[in-house]
Amino acid sequence: MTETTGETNSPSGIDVAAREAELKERMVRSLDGDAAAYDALLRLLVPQLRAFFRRRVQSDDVTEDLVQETLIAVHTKRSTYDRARPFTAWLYAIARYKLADHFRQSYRVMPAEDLDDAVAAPDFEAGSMALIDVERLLDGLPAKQQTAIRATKIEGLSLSEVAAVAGISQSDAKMSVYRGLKRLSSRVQGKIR
Amino acid sequence: MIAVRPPTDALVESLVADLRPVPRSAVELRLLTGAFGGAAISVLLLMVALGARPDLAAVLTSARFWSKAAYMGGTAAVSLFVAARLARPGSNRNVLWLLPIPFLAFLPLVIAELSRTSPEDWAPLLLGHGWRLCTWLVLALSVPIYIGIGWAFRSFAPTRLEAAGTVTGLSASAIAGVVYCLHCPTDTALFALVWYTIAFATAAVLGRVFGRRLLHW
Repeated sequence: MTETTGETNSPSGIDVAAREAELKERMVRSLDGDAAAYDALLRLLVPQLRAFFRRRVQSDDVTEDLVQETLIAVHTKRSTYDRARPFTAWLYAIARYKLADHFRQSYRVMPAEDLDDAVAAPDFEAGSMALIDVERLLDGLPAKQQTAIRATKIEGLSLSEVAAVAGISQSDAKMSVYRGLKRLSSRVQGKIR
Repeated sequence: MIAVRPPTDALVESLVADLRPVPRSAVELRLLTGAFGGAAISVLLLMVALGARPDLAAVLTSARFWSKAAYMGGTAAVSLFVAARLARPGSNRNVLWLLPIPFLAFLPLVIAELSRTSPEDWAPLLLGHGWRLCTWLVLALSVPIYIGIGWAFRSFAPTRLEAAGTVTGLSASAIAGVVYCLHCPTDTALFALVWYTIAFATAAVLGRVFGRRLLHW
C-alpha cells in the first residue's frame, strides 16, 4: 500500500479554518473554469477523503472505490455547491451520502448499531463542523471579546500575551474574555431552550 | 509527501480535463427550466383536451380567481424554493417548515367564505362544478411537470431523498394546480382548499414513495 498518512485529521481550529479557506477558494475558482485550481483542489481532497473513508470501512479497496466515487460526485454535482456556504460541509455531505450508500448495499457486513459510530468517527470533518459552529457563535460578539476569546480559548495564549498583542491592559483582556463567554453561554442556553 | 495511487491519479486528470465553468445559480436555473418546461406541456395538454374556461377573460379581474391562483402559486413557489435547498448537499438549515405557509395563509379566506354563507349553502361551495374530476386532473397535469423537475434533479445531489421526493411531488402538483386554474370553473375558496390540497398531498406522498429510487444518485 502507498503511504497516505500526514493529512490533517484532528488539527487545531486554526489549521481547519485555513484548510477550509484554501479548499473553498480553489473550489470557487474551479467553478469559474480554472483547471489549475481544480487540479490542486482534487489532489488535496484525495488524501483527506481517503482518511475519512479508511476510518469507517475496513478494506483499502473499498476505501479507494469510495474516494473515487466521491471525486466523481464532486465533479458531476459541482453545480450544487453554493459559493456562500462552507465547502467542507458540502464535501462531507457528499462523502457521507456515498458511505451510507455503500453500507446500504453491503448491509450485512456491518451491524446496524455500529453504523452511527462509523459515520460519526472523529476526524477532520468533526473538527471543521465544530469550527463552523464556533465561528457562527463568535460572530455576534463585539470584536474585542471575539479576539480575546479566540486568543485565549482557541489559540491557547495567556492573558498577558493577549494584552500585549492587543495593546490593552491585562484586566481589560480578562474582562473581555469573561463578558464574551458569559454572552456566549446565554446565547447557547437560549438556543437550547 | 502524499503519493496518489495511479487509478485515482488518472481519474483526477480526466476530471480536470472535463472541467467546464458553472454559472452561479445553476441549480435554480435548471430547476425552473425543468418545472416550466413541464408546465408548458401541461398547458398544451389542458388546452387541447379541455380548453380554457369560457369566462377566463372575465374572471381575470375577480379577486376570488386570483386568491385561488395565489394559493396554488404560493405553494408552488415555496415548494420550489425548498426543493432548490434540498438539491444541494450540506445545506443544514431545515426549511421544510415553510411548506404549510400558503395553506395557512389561505385558510382565513375559506373561513371568511364559510361565515358569509349559511350552512345549507356550504355544499355547493365545496362541490362546485366538477369536484369529481378536479383532483384527478391536477394529478394528471402534474405528470409532465414532475418529469421536468425529475430531469432537473438528475444533476442535483439531494442527500435527504424522502424529503426531496416529497417536495418535488408537491411542487409538480402545485404548478399543475396553477395550470388547472385556466380550466377549473369553480372559484370558491373551500373548493380550492379541499380538492386541490388533496391533489397536493397525494402527489407529495407519491413523490416521497418514489423519491428514494428516482432521486438516488
